[in-house]
Amino acid sequence: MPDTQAHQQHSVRGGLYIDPLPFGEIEVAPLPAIAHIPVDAKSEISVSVGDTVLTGQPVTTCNDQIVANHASVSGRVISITQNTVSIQSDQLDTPYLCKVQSLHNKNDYQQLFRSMGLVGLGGAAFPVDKKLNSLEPTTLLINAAECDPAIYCDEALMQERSAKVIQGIEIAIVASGAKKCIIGIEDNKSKALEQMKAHLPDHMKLICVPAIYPSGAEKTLLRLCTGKTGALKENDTICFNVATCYAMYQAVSKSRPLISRIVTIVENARVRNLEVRIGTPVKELLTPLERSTSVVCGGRMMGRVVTQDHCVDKRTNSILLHTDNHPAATPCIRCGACEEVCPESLLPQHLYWHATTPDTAKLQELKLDQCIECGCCDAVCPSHIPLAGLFNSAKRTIEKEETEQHKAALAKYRYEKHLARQSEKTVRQRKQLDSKTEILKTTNADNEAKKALIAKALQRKKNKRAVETDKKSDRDSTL
Amino acid sequence: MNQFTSIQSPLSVSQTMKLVLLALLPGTLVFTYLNGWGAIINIVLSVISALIFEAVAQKLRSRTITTALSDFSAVVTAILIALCLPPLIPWWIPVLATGFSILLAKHAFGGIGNNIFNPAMVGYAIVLISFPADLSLWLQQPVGGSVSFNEAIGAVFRGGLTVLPNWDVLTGATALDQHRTLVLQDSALAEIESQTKGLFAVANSEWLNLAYLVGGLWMFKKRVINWHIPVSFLGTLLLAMALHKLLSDSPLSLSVNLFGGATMLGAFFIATDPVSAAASVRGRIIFGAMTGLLVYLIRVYGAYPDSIAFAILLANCTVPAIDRLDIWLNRPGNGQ
Ligand code: SF4
Ligand code: SF4
Repeated sequence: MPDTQAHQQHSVRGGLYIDPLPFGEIEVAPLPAIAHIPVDAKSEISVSVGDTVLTGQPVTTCNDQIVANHASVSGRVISITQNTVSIQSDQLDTPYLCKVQSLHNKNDYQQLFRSMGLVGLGGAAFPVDKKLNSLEPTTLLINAAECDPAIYCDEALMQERSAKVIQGIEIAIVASGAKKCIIGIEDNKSKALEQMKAHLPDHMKLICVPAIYPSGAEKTLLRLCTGKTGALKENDTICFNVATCYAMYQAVSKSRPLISRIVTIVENARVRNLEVRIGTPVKELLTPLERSTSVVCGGRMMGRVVTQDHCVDKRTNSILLHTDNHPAATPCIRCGACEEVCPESLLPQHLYWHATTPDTAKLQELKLDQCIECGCCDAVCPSHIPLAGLFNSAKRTIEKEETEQHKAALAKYRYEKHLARQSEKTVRQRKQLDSKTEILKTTNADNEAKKALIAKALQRKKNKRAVETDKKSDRDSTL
Repeated sequence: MNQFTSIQSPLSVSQTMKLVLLALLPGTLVFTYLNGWGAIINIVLSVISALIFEAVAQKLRSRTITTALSDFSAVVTAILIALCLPPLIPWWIPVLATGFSILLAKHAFGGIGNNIFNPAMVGYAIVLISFPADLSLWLQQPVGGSVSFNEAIGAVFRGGLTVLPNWDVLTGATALDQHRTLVLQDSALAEIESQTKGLFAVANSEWLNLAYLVGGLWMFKKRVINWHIPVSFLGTLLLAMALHKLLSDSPLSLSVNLFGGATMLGAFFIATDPVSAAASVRGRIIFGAMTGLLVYLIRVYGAYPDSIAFAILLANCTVPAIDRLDIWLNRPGNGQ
């Protein structure tokens, strides 16, 4: 089996190497007392306060834009707001029996994934069915590289449940219709690599990529595995993370909707991987928090600070605690450290200079759109400039400008059309008038055309008068 | 900003400056050995006045004074200036030089990070143009003509070297001066090298340059500087000199040019100031080459025997153009 060997093929420049921390086996977190299921504000809630729900019972309906959400514990619905359904757990965890659906084609899979609430578990939480629907891929890329150096949930999953992960990948291949399947795994995850290799069927190709952040970013992973540059779409590639494949396996083989996920918790350099029900308050997973501690979800590099009352949702891949503050930014000293680590070979120091304005043309010239906002540059910046955040907001400002420009262009187009129509009308009327005058000018009184014209004009006048008298009488009668 | 990152602390400005000071230590010691008490007086005067000017500037700009002083960049600037100045110049020359560099070149432009010119070189260049006579008198090396501490203090505070009764026997031409005169007289290369001969390159200043080179390599190892500027600077300088020799049959000595004057100080400590150099790898290589070329042009065709300061200041002027060129070269469709 020549194709199943793990080997590295390509490399990228830049990136950061960060020593991994040791971690233990996946633990199952205790059921929360109250699960606060996050729901989309636009979705339709199908339960009401006081209802008894079972574990896995849908609480919202799905459509082609949003996936369903499910009760992650059994118990009673105690409150419903625009974006949460809170369920008081009865601690019995009585399962809800889902209808088993038969799967014949891609559409059936998409329907199933939608009703099972499947979203990408790498952190972006993009609906799986929407992703599948967006393109007919030739290649399926499986992201088995962790997306952040402080996250270990996918590695733990592969170490302990690789057979199921592989079955999930099989499902992903069928559901996407891809002809080729590549799994990219970081080379320092030796135990996970071994486990994956042990179950790997012939038609999947396992490729080792260097354990350098951001190897787990889709675009970087694609380049590392295939040498192809550019966005995934341009390369007819679809990418799923291993945890998402595992969820597919659960949905298809076990009819189990997405009600739990593995979360990496880093507390005082101690790493735990917990299987947590969606909607569990993070406080219940941590030792008592001090007020000054910031809770960060989404990893060390691209994570965001959330409130201490945050509840685990489908995108919560990790919870980190942070006590010291980010030092204030000082002026850029043009040291170029940021350029050295940028995996996209951009020039962050110049981008920074132009992003503060922002100067759209220059930013485009500097390929701002290629920035994957990995944050490598700010991690090494001696002036502590939050570069990736600035690039993100510059992108959004440009987007806004562009939509506005587009709107203005559309309005201008409409107005110009309107003007053109008007001038056309005047030209037409002028022409008509001219041709009539021409006919009337002819001396021959018996001219048929002339007669007809005069008759028509008389008729028009008569009609007009009739209308006027009508109106007048109307007025009189109302008086 | 809810974007949050903190992973390994990169070297802060003050840490970098401390490392630079350490790297300057061997050079400073050799400089002091060569120039005697005058060197120490220059260093002390520069450092004290730089700290005072820095505090005044911070006060004027309503900043906190302590943090600004603790970043050590003013000290580095002061020492770089002192290492360019000859010993036993009147006390107000180092003070003026640091004043111009801290107040004008640094703070008038908006402080560290916003200065377009290398502050130390601005200060030095201004006094060099204003007081060319004082700035060209160097004592005999080593140990600065054996002038005693009392004599030195007296000279510095009473109008400079020329107040000493026997000042003309105490002074000596620098290697680059000798080299320049001899090249202009079209002497043979062998003669030039024999007149300036030291152990391996140029008497006395070879040790100074070697000390700067060692400090520079150590900074490179500590990742305080990148190789780009020193390598392209020295490479271009050597290449230009060699080509000149080849084409015009001139008796230029490459070893004197490499190990004489402030060549290594410029290559490793001055041109590498990130703020006033180009910001990217490609830009830095162009910047270094530009500096090397300018040093060659001024040394061979100009009126100054050493030319590091002017070359670096002129190269600083080209930085915006280099940045633009760099962006242009990096634009989409130009490969990676
Ligand atoms: S955030 Fe953007 S600019 Fe910074 S290193 Fe990552 S890709 Fe490069
Ligand atoms: S790392 Fe920071 S200080 Fe250095 S060039 Fe980049 S933005 Fe400027």
